[in-house]
Amino acid sequence: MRELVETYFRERSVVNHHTASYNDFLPTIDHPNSRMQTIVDNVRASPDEADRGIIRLDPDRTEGKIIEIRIGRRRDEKTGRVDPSARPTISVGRPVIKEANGATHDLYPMEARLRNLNYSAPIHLEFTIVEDGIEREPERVHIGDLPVMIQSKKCNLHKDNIDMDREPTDEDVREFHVKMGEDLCDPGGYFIIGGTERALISLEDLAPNRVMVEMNERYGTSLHVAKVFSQKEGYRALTLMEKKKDGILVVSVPAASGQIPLIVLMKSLGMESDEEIYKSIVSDPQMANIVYANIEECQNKKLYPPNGIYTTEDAILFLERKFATGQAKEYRAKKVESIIDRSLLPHLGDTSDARMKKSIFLGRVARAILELELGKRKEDDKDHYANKRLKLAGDLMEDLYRVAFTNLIKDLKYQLERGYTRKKGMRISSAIRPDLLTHRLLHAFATGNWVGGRAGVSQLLDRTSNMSALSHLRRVTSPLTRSQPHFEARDLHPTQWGRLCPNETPEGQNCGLVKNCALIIDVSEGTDDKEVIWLLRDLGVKEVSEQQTTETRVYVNGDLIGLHDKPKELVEEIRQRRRSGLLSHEVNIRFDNNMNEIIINCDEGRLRRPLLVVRHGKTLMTRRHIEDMRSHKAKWSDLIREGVVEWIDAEEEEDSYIAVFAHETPQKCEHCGKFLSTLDVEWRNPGEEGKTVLECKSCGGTMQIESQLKDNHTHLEIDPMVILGVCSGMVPYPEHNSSPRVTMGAGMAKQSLGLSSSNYRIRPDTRSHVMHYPQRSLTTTKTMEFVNFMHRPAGQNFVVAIMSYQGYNMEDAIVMNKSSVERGLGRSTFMRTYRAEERRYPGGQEDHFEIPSPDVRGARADLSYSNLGEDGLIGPETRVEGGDVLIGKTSPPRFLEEEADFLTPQKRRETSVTVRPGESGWVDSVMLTESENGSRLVKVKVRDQRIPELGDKFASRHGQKGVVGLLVHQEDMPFTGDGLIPDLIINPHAIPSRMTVAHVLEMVGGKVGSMEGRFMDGTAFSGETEEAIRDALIRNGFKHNGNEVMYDGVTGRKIEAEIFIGVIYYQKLHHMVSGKLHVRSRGPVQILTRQPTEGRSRQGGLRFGEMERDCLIGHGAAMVIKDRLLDESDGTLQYVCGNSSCGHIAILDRRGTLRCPVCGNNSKIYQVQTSYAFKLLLDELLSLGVAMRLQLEDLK
Amino acid sequence: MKIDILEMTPTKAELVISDTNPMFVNALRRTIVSDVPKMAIDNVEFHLGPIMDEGGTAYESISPLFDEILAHRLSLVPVPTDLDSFIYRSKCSCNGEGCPSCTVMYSLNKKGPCTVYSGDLEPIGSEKFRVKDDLIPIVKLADDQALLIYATAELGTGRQHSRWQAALGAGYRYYGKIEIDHSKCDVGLSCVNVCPRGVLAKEDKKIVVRHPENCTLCNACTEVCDTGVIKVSGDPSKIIFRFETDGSLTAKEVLIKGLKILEERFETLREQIGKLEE
Ligand code: SF4
Ligand SMILES: [Zn+2]
Repeated sequence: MRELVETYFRERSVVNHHTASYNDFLPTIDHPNSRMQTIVDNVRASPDEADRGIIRLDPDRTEGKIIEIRIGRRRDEKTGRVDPSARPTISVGRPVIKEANGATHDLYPMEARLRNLNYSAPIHLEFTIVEDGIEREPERVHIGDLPVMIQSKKCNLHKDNIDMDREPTDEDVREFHVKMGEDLCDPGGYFIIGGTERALISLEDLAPNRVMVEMNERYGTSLHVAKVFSQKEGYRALTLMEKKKDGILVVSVPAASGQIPLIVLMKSLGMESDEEIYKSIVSDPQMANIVYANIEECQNKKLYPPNGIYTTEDAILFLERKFATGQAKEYRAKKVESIIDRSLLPHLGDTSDARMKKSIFLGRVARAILELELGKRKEDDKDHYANKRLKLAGDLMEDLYRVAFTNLIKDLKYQLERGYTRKKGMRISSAIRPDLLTHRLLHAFATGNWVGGRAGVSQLLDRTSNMSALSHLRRVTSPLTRSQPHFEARDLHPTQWGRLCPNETPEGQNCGLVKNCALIIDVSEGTDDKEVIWLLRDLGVKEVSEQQTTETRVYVNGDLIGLHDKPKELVEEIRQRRRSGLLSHEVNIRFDNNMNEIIINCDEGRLRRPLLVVRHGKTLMTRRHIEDMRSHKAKWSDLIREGVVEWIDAEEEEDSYIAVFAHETPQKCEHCGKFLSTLDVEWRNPGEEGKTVLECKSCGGTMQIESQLKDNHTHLEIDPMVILGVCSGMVPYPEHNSSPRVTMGAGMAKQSLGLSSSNYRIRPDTRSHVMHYPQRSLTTTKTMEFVNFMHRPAGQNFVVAIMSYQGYNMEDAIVMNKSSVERGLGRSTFMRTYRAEERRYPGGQEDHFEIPSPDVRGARADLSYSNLGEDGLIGPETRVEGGDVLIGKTSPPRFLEEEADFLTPQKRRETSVTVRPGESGWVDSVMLTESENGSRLVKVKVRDQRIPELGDKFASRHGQKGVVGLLVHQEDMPFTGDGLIPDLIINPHAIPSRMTVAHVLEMVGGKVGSMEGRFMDGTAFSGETEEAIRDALIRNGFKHNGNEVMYDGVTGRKIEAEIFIGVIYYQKLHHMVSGKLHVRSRGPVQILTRQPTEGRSRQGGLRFGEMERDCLIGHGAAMVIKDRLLDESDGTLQYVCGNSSCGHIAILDRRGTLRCPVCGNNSKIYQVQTSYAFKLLLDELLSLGVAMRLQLEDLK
Repeated sequence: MKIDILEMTPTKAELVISDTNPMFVNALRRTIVSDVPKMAIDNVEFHLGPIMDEGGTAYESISPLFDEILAHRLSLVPVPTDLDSFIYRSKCSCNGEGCPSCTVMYSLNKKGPCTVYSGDLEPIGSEKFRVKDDLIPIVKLADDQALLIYATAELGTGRQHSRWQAALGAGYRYYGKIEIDHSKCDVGLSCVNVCPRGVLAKEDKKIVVRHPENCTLCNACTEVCDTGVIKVSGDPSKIIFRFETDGSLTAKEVLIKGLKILEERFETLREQIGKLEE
């Protein structure tokens, strides 16, 4: 039902997941319990500090004064909890720029992009100093700058931040954005660091704090293992439990080498009684023996001297001996304490209070292993999406900020303690170093190296086209290494349905590891589980006393909360409460009948999808809802609140029965005979009893058909098209294609040129493309509406004929109509921005923009600077070729101290910026501005027109790509009786083996669309039907199958075969010949090896590789090999000492005599030709102290 | 050879040529597409730097489109052509300098905000060169943007570049020859329904060929006919030829000029052969 999709996108943007997540992180007035505030509340100034949110100075360093600085919110003295309604202490301002001269003003994204600035806002924190119990007035101090996400709540473009005397309307907002140089279709959701746009890529990870059991095959025997990724505040610890061959359960704890027997560990945690241990593990009498054996093992005096382990003390003593033998008693205790409190299952708590909880949890882990062994439980599926969590921009920021902030506070404590004197007192603002925080944040953004050692988290936003930018912002990566196979992880898992796009993934090494979100998703932000637990208690969930029970276990976020005897009712009740708004919509619940468990989740990072609620075979959505949605009265959030639609995570989906369609669509209208697609009928009676009533949209007649919704259905799909992502959603009729072709189509949409943004004339992107005449596609999909494809298209509708043409379209080549190209088909402009800054160097020297005078070192001929103005800058609309100077610049000498001559001052160096070799174009714009540190900054944009030529790459949306093989004059092209000439001719062989039926369908669809002057609908699963298109073709005077009679343009005769011809959307891909064309005769060589450089950008040579060499060997062309590999590469002539006992490299000394420096021989010296790489090898070995002797011999 | 004119308007022509062959008509088609000359803008000069208006306000000479796009758009504007009074610039007595007998100059001076149309091209000299199709949008200018352009049009042919192509959509098809074996026909009507051009119809319980001139030889009728009584074939000696023009020349002018070019070619050929015989 498209109304629902439309309603969703009226409320949320395509990158809502990022902005919402980041907003959750930001402290704003309407969001006091932000993640940033929580970090401040929970910060510890040093690892062994008990209290959080407080800096306590060492009294030894403060002359005995007790000084505490409170930075977190005030805590309740009894419970130690933060009062959630207390005033936040941290705040973030709006993005500003502080100029070099000290002035500040509001910063807008475009200025940041143009001036290479960071789009960041100041963070302020309130410090309350408590000196000897006396509380001082709080002090608000600037502690650093936070990169701000575009279109987030703190962004200056956000509606709330536009200064106006009235509430800004949407129109005002748009006007404002245009004034600030923004593209109205820009989704936001990225950051600007140093002028470049950076996207944070969402990370997919295993859900933390869950018990996962698996079977490992090792040495032929299967091993049962349980893993818990325990996570608390960014700290991750993997606890592993396995059952050894002798039946003993052992635990591995991080930071403790070796394994600890389970029973010992449980006892050390305070669970002394064997009965208690037994009860916390055994859920089935069959396990009893194993547990007995384990307990008895502990009492073995030989293994655990002196007399076995019975009590907690015994156990702790054992651990002390195991992990800290021979240390002082005090240290030993501390070590064991740190292991069992900090490293073991930290999510349950990191104080000694949590020990009992951990012991019970361990019992549960053991139970899971034993159940797995007994076959009562299946292995956990690691690829099941219920076991996955996403980390979005806000979560990543949280991780980064926590580390940076903790560093800052540690440093602050150190600075305060160091600089403390009683007389001067204490000033936070002079002791704090805001740069510490700022640089830490910026560094991570600029390099992509995140905390926790993850690389590539922040990436340069792909602006090739609008689609590539959107897709980049919706990307999800898996941390699994790409070099290993990981077959299961790469496979499409059924639980990804509706959450991740089944088609959009790269081909090759990243296949299946890098994924993209489906069209409509929601990532949970997490709600407090206490609310849920209270509710469960109210509903009669009992505490667990022992594991052996027939009642249903209830888990909340992986924690066993209690037992319940009526699971079905409980689940039903909770669902009803959620649907009626009494419980947060983020709570998802599932009853697992097999395991007799209720699983409730309300944590963050669950990827969820929307579904229509169905009860008793009827949707809760009624006719009224549809009408309200159409008139824009109903909002998406209203539908969620009413419980008509709900967000379902992968766990709850296991407990659901979802109908894909509510009804079948009849093939033909009973009344008017029109061929019907899902779009052509209107569902008159959703949510009502009885048969489904459909209304034909073209004639208004109604039909009654059987409903597909049965009593046991729980949900109905919103619309099947939303299972695809933004890029696959662009492919028309994808359900008619073979799946890899849709994947390729989605991949190519990201390389297509078009109108990537409307502000392309002012954007300073290093490289960008813009297509001259981009068109909307004639065959559209509904998805395009929501991704602004209609306003930022990337492609053109080509008239395409499928036939061969003189063999010039073999092997996926395409033949193009030259006249069409001359009329503007497929034209684009490539723009490259060159930049230069007048850098300042230590010692007061700086760069200058100027025309370098002839006495500057490395100055070029005067002619090279003839295009520059007096200021050293080139003027706009100047024609430039590769190597031409754009910005004349000189720099101070590189090594100041190394003065050769004391009288003449050292020469400055020529460091002009020139056009890249092989590129050319017109100077589009020259921009002169000032960078953040006050030095002048120049950006010169050069544009180059790219007219399609031989070798340029084009592709349809169905993965049918090809390069131009021939450009043909119009009169030589085949034509139809109407005088129509195709723009493009593709080869018939391109179709059958690829099975791109949708390509064929789109061609006829486009034909009908262009005849009837309308856009065709090719949306996945609901597009106009083939029958309707055939009908329309006949209506418009074409044969029903799209074939036409064509005449050869050269001979004038009728072509005997009928030619399939139609209109289809083709994209120009950014792989163009002019960017790849490369030849070299002579050129630069590498300094080290003296071999030719590599790569086009370095004017490198073309590699004469092994296979080429083999080929010449096969031909016996020895001299050619020598020519290629030696003479034309790194051949050098060396003098070699002919003394048979020496054989070292000889030299030609200054006087012109040949001499061996080793043996002094100067008569028998010969010239030998070797490759320079060989000489290098000799020298390298020589440097290792290996004497390399060449034994010369005459040629025989 | 017999010629029936089905349609002849200033921009469109459709003729039936009988007793001919495809090679002849194709020669004509190729000639009018790529050899008939017309005037088109070939050289565009842009003013660089600020543009002042009478009131002294300065405009930037910039537009949302790049100069080369504007030049390309202008080159495709159909410019009225008088074939008798112009000669190719390279063959002109001015030696390619540009003179009134080989070029037409236009100026374009617009200040934003506005949309620039082809009608804004002001011919320098005779008004008869004013662009007839004056609503072709060129570019939209924003506030403070202005264009000051001098454009030169000259003669060229479609073979050089399609901006000099006068005839468009030139094509032909063989006349349809449809035979129905009425003795075996079961008058199932499937052929009538499937024919996209309404060629066939049912009359007096018989399928008749009502509009053979519309038939595209698509064979849909033969494919659908179970009894196999319809046979469709094209008649290569009877050809329906059609083309349109972009408005710079009339269809008639194009046709006549095309024939003249062909004639000249054969004339040269004849002269050469005549020389051989001597
Ligand atoms: S060949 Fe095609 S157009 Fe001609 S009569 Fe048969 S169906 Fe009609
Ligand atoms: Zn109908």
